[in-house]
Amino acid sequence: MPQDNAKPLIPASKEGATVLLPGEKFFVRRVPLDPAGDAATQIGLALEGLSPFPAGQLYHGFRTDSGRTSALVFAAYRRNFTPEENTAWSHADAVLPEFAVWLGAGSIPAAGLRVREHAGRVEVVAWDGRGELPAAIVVRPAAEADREAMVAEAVRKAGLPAGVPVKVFQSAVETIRVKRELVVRLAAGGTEARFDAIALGQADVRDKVLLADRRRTLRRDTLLWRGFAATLGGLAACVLLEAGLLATHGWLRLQQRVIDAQKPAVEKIELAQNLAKRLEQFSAQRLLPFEMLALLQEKRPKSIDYLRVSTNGLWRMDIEAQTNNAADLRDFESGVRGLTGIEHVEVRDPRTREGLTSFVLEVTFKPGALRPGGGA
Amino acid sequence: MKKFFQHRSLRERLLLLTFALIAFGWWAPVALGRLFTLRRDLKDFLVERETQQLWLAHRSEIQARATAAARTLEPARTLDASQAFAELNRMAAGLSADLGGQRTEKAEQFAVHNIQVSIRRADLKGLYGFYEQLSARAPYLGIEQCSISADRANPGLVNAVFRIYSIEALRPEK
Repeated sequence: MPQDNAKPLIPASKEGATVLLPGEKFFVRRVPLDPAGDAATQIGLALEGLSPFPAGQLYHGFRTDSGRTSALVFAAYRRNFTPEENTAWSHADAVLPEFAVWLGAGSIPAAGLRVREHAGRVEVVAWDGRGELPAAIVVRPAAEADREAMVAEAVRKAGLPAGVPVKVFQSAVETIRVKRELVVRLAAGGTEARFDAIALGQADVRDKVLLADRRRTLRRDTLLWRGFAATLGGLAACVLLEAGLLATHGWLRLQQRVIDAQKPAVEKIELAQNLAKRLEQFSAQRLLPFEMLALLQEKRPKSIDYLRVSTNGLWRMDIEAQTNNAADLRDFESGVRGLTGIEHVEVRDPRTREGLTSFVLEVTFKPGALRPGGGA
Repeated sequence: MKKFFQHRSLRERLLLLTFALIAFGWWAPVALGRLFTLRRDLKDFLVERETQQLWLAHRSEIQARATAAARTLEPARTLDASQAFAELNRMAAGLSADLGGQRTEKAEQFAVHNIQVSIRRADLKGLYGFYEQLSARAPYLGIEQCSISADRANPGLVNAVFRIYSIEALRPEK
């Protein structure tokens, strides 16, 4: 939202607003920078040489040019501002001097002067045609201002020849947020300065330690909010999931009723299928346990006694037996294996105790190998 | 929501975040558990539906197969449950036999009855006589499962358990 400046100073009315301070409270210098070094450190050192006050008693900020070869430093004595003003800044997004509107620093303007008169204040800004940043800025309250004298002062400070062009503006300064940049511009248009997060941090005149604290607090608040928002998002997803589950359960119950209604008919078909299969089986083949025993009897050594025989399906017989001659087990197995009509023979669980060897012989006959009333 | 949250004190924000995390931590696993259960139920349902559809799709084919199987029966030779019971009793005369555990499965055209016959302390000759009589009534009477064991107390005698089926032709219901 655009914010107009006025006289006297307007404190930050709400969180996130930008405070523009009257320019006459600042002294301004353009200082050369080593692009390879840290700008803030160089500015701090320069400020100690420039200012009649210790750095701790100053509010200061700066703006570098795009090549970081020079910076415009602006500083104000802290006692120029009341405690109420300081308090008002604490929630502000940024605190800049009003003349920040001239600190566009994107291209080198031609040598000349800009004069802005508004709300009882006269602002004279001079460019020397060699740098992106102004070479001099002179601000006075209108009551004390003599425009011609101010222009002459600015010309002298900037080292300009007499007769350089002068443009006069009568416009307020407003600020607006465009994406992540703060734009400070003349309300009437014609010039603007853009500050990204880094440039804004440099230009903000508040106490640098407090600013660092504030940035930390902002980061913490942002993290807390993001965590809370993400958790709320997760809870919202749970609500959606529950709603989906409820709807799907409802649909499933309806479908299950259909399945349950069909179940008796399906069971009837299944039974018919099983019985038909069994009937076909009974007609074609039948279990012949005595014929199985008769066939195996041919190979049974006399020492082997059957304890139990049982059928397992139509073609398998399991024989639990014992012998007092362990060697006969092997003869029996190989003899059975050699019979016609035997598909598979396996000796299971052989064990010997007190001279008796017990075992289970699993014999699988070939389907159709047995004839009723006889062997294979 | 953001404004509401940002304007709370740090303690309130931490509490809000903690409560929200607790709620999410409790709810999310429960909801996921329900989701997995539903997924399993859905899978079971789809399998059951597919199986049912398969059976229903083959209904006429199965009925035809059952009818064809029933046509091979001579109704006069088939035995209902009582007849089978009486016939087995007759065959087991002279043996120490128990008959029981009768079970019947019915299709439209025929029924299969199952009877368990337990014969105790029989000699092999007597048991074979029972078996021969049974074989003579095949396929309307037959053995489905058989187990013979030596009687430990009486060498030369055996105990036998037969699961015997009988087939009955049913008259179609009008």
